[in-house]
Amino acid sequence: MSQVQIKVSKNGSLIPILNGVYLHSMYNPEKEASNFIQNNKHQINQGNNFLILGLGFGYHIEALVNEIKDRDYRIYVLEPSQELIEAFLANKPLNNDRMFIQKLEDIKKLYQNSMFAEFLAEKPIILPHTTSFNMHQTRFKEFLNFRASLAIQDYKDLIVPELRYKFDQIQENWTLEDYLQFTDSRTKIEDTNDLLFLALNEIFIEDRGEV
Amino acid sequence: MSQNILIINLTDSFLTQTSCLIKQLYKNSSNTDISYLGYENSSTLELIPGIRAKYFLNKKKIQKLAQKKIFYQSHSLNYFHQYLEKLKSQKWDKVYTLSYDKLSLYLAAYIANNKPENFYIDQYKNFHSQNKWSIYRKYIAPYLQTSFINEIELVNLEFNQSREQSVKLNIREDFLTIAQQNFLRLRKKINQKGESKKIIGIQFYNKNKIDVLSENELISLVNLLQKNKNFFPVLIISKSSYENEVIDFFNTAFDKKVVTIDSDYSALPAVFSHLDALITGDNLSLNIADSTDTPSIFITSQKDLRSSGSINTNNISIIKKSSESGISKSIEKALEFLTQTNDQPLKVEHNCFITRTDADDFIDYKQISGQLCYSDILNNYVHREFLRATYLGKKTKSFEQNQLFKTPEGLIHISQEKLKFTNIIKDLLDAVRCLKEAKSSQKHVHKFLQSYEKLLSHSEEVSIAQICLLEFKASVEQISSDSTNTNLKDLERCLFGLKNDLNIINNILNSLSQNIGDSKGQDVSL
Repeated sequence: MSQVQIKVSKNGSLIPILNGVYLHSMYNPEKEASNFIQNNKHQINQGNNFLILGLGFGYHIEALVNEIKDRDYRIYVLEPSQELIEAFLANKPLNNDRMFIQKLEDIKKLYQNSMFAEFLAEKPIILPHTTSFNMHQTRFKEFLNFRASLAIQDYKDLIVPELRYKFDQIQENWTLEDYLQFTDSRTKIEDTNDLLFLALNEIFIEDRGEV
Repeated sequence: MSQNILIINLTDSFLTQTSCLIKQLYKNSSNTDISYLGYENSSTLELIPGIRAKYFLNKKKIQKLAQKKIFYQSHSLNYFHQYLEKLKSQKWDKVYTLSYDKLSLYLAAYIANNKPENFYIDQYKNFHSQNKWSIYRKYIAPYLQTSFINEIELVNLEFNQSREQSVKLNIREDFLTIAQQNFLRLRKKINQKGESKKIIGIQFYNKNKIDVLSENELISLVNLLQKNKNFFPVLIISKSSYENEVIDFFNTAFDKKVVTIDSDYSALPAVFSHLDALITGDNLSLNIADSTDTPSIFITSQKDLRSSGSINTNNISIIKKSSESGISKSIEKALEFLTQTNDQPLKVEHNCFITRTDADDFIDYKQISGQLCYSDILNNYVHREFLRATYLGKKTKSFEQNQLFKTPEGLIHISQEKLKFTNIIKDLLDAVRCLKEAKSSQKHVHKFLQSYEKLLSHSEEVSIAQICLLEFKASVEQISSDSTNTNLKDLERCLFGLKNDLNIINNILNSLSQNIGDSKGQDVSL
């Protein structure tokens, strides 16, 4: 279990210390955060969705929000330490409905979350908080290198119940594409849901550049 | 009682097709709520009046969620399902699809519980429609090399609408006010000596990023129009970097004396309504000009005028040949004709000028002058008369281009078509004979299939009989049974249907030959 201590910086701001590591500048964390934003400005201007690796005490996030406040933005923050999250929320209650803090625990489960997956599909700009990233490098790298299983059997429970029955009798290693091609090659339509799969197959075909 | 209607259109040419249908639906019942499902294209969708709600299919997101290795593919499936359920749960009274690609058909069938308005899909995934024009739009029109019926007309015919000159698109009041003020100022400035110059808008670039006019052609055209006392050219651009480069060049070359109007599609109706004429190669702009009754010249490099979606019979199309000079002069003459600033009849040496004449069934293309293409003229005539006879139940009209075909080249062309036609008849009779044998013994089925394939291969050739063969192909695709005998019976019905259709073509061809007085060529008989 990680230990979180909180100290006061020279300019009066709260600084968390996690397992003996100061997560922000003990002199002026706001200025440090502002520099962080300036150093990443080019990237920040590339989009409106952000994935921050490491919560700290949110100074870098506040600086980011300040920079992009006129845009329609969304921010996801991944933080491995539950204690730090609790300490943060206790001292700095979250008042921003466009920001989400997610504990980086079960990575597989995180990728199974549809809201998070849809956020990632928008290709957010990834901004690692350096100190936090270095502290939890292995965990963050595991997150960044994750690869989902393509076999339907491995994620069948995630499929909406109305469609799940379609996959009751498929072969073990079938992917969704295998199933769609199978549906397309069948002579008959079994029910209305087959029309959905046939439509989805057309979208996949187009993506593969087949005509 | 209010009707809840969904229109699905996943094509590029959604604007006028959708507008036509919406207009008809509101005509049928003013108490109608119309929603639209398409791909996102907001600035042009704004132009269509009468849409209550808009839905956009985010194909890229579905593809991304399936493609990227970090995602479980369930996300893609669930997202797609959730999106469609939102639509399906709205209990539409009617679902129409204007696009006939497979994706549109499956979506329409799914959302409407396989009861969309213009077709249904059977359990064998075959597409069926009671509407001959739906079949034509799906199975025939996309495969014709050239067609005289453009997409707007086809939609009108499919939904049994009376053809009108144009469909009014939305014009934003604020844009209209600005355009009014700007054009008033411009007219005052250019007519200081009491002239009344016509303001001619020129778009030299279309949304498919194709040069409508090369730089040299554009310079030549602007020069010519500036020298013509009746005209004042203005360049109309969207915000593309290519156009901006050209404008920079123009500002230097013409010493900043060329007026430029920078406008996106949502403002074009306001701009066009103040022009005296428009020169464009962009189909969407042409449709907008139709809507504002702005006389237009459409520049295209294709013979296929199906691509020009205008139904305004006063508009002119110029088919630009590659590396051909002299198009500026042709455009100038066409402008004089359109704006009635010149009494001379329109005659052009170099380019193929086509104007439309409003025939009673279809908008017809009348060739004024230019290089002749026997194949197009003959095929279009036969095709049109076949449709008049079979789709509209009307008598065929005589061939107006007799004189053209009384030439040696014309007669040779007719002989060639007759020969092609004879070969098709031969293959048809062969297929009928093989089918008879196959019905009596299954060991002959293979032979029948070979003769059938040979017959079907003619559907890919350009010929006067192509429409019949494509119709035949469409009817065969709808055969669906688990029983070989039933399928053979259905095939026989389709073959006799083809025979009847070819008979109609044959009659048209024979009557054409009589008109021409072609005594040398042998009449084909079935």
